[in-house]
Amino acid sequence: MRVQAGIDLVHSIRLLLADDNLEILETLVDMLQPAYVVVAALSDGASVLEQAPGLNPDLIILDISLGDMAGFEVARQLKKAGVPAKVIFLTVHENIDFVRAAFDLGAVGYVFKSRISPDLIDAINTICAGGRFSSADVAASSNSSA
Amino acid sequence: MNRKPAARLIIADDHRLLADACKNLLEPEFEVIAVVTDGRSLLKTALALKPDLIILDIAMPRLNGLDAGEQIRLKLPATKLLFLTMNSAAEIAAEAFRRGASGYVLKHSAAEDLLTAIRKVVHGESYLSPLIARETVTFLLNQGKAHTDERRITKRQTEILQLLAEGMSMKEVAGVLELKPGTVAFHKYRMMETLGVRTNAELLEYAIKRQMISA
Repeated sequence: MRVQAGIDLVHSIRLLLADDNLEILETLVDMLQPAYVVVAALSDGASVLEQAPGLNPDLIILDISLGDMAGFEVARQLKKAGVPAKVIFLTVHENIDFVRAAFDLGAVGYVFKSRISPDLIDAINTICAGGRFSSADVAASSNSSA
Repeated sequence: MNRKPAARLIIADDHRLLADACKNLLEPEFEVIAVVTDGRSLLKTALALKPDLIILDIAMPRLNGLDAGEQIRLKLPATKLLFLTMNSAAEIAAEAFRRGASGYVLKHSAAEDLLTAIRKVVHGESYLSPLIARETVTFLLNQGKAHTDERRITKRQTEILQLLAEGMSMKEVAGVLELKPGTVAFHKYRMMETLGVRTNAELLEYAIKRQMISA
């Protein structure tokens, strides 16, 4: 735990963001920062592996196609290193095989980049309440109800 | 066992004399690796040198300390931020901690206070000047909302606003931020829409109110 001598946000969810597209990273920070504590916004997998253990994030939001390393590999190594944070993948890949692979790997969330604005905050809150979230399910149910 | 190497610091203050005096005060104990005088050079220097700690002012040209500090913290989360400022408002101190500061010291504090603050921050503790009410800062910090309505405009827009308010043309702003002039114009008009202002003068007034530049 971070010792802050009483000067800290006490009840906030701590997020670590990783995306190699700096514009998306900037948009995510603007969108999430008012409600959550963004502990880091990183653009490569190596930095995530280096920084995550010391920052105690509750949630890590990971792009699948990071420049230096696949997001799946980053998730695997985080798990191996014993980092307890939950992982949400945020990606352009909407293929169901990717979604399955992500959950098989131990991820608890999967959000399509095409659905950031309707899904991401829902996903974070659902997961922090102990649930799972997949844009694939939401997209499927909204299609069938339409 | 070897002694731990001295912490590596960057000092950022647009008052050169003060920055140099600060460097002289700290150098027996810490390694001052750079002194910069505006927020944008701070950003560049910090990302290149990855210091252990940055001592930074809030009111700085080209990019204010709060915005520069926040951008650095997101990219270099291991680097600690210690604000050294004239601004004694609890709201501003709370905002600094909200953006990830580890320390907040006033410029009219004793030199010994700054040294104490740095030693604490280097050891992973936080420090708030005793001249500011700690309870108020903690209260504000945990209210959950930023003290201003600044969150309504994006970080990119805030950066552009400061440069425009300092008198740069949209083309010059585009040069500094490495954007296309059209992109700067787009952000400027989006921001005017968001803030509900129609003229450049009103936009400037907003920047002054936000203490991005001095009146």
